[in-house]
Amino acid sequence: MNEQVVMMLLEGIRDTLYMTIGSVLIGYAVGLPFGIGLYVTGKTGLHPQPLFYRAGDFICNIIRSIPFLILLILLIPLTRLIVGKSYGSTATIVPLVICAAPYIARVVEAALQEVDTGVIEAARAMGASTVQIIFKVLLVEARTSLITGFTITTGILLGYSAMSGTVGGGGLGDIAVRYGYYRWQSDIMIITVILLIVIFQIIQMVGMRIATGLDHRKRGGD
Amino acid sequence: MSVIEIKNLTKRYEIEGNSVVALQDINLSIEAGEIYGIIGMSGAGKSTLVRSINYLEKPTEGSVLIDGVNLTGLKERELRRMRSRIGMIFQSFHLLEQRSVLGNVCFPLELAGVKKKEARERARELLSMVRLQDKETAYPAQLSGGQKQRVAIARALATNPRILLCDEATSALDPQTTTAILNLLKEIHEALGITIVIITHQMSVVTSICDKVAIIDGGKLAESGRVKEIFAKPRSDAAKELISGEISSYLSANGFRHTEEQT
Repeated sequence: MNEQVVMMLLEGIRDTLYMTIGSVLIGYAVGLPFGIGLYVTGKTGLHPQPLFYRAGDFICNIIRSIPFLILLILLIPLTRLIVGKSYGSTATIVPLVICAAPYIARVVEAALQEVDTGVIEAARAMGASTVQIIFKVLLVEARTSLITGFTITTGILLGYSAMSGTVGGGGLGDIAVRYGYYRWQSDIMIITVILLIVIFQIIQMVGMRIATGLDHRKRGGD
Repeated sequence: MSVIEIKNLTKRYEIEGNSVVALQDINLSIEAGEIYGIIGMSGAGKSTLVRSINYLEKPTEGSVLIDGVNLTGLKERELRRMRSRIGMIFQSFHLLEQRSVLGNVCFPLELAGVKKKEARERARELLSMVRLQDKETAYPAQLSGGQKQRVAIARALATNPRILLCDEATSALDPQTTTAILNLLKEIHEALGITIVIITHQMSVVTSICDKVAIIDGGKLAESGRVKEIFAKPRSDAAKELISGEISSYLSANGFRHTEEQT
């Protein structure tokens, strides 16, 4: 394997990580508050607001029901408007975020729903405000599920970032498509696939370790 | 002036267009320093009643006065401040699972904006009062039911409340632990002079700790008064039923057999 290919693969790894991390972070910046909003306004939430909830619920379902590859194409005009071009790693982050945010919102909503309502009632009885309940009770008590959700989401976005290679998204997926699909160089494709597997494993392992390390619910002693 | 005054309290729920009456026209005065029992069968509405005292449940009609202040007129912020002066413990403890014992007791102080160091000092005092000073770094999952309830008691007392509400606080505990928790509540009552309201379906809890009792039956106040008087001369059917249940369980616990008439 020559130096050029190694360089290309290293750049691929860099671009893939850039897209994945970038879209996860921006996705959470949008999806986390969205998810909290869904939980709070939901039927069993702190302040049920059926109209608001139904609107959020609807938006979530619409975006989530569009296959990512189609979303990627549908959003080209928007991507061009925000980034200035529709190809490359930075451009890919736009559809990745839009695809991820509603998913993240659902993951967050589900994690918060796991928190025992009795604990929330106890906090209310102590005089906690809604904001205090969100930040000091919900997000803390649900942190294991939240981190597990974060890990799963990162894994999914890693896969989606590779998929965006088909439309010139950059990164390892792009390399796999160009060399493996268009040029029939399966060795390079196999290497990119192995690299994706390794990255995925690392994300999964680190995420789960942090999640269980922070969980005090079912452990013996420390 | 009564510490807690419940006036003409009615609570209705709307369930799928149907109106269900949980509590109807309840009047109750609880004086400072009393241990007041509220007893009833499950579904009688006693949990709704105790939740009305700190307005976790807002009454449909009527009012609740704490130290003469009508909760109905309070703004959300004032209501929260009022709640922080009423401690509450629950049947299933409701501790924060991801916080240590010390963190749990510090929690209400944190909500009230007390400095961390002060909060910790206060929390340690309370933990030694409930005799759990050696457990401050443990997490709730590592504690027994009785220990959890003691943490919950320490937490409920952190902000120096004048009222402690106990919602079936011993119902999830075995008889020995129940006795221990009741003795602890008695001790706290003597030491702090705090008013305690105890919701229970166990007559034994009322007879062992309460000065006065209110009997709730089908959302209505069947009768209320001194425990001894009601025990000696129950007037309502609900009271008679609860007391005869108590006697028969006492008899069976002491080796007597139920006869046909008793059951």
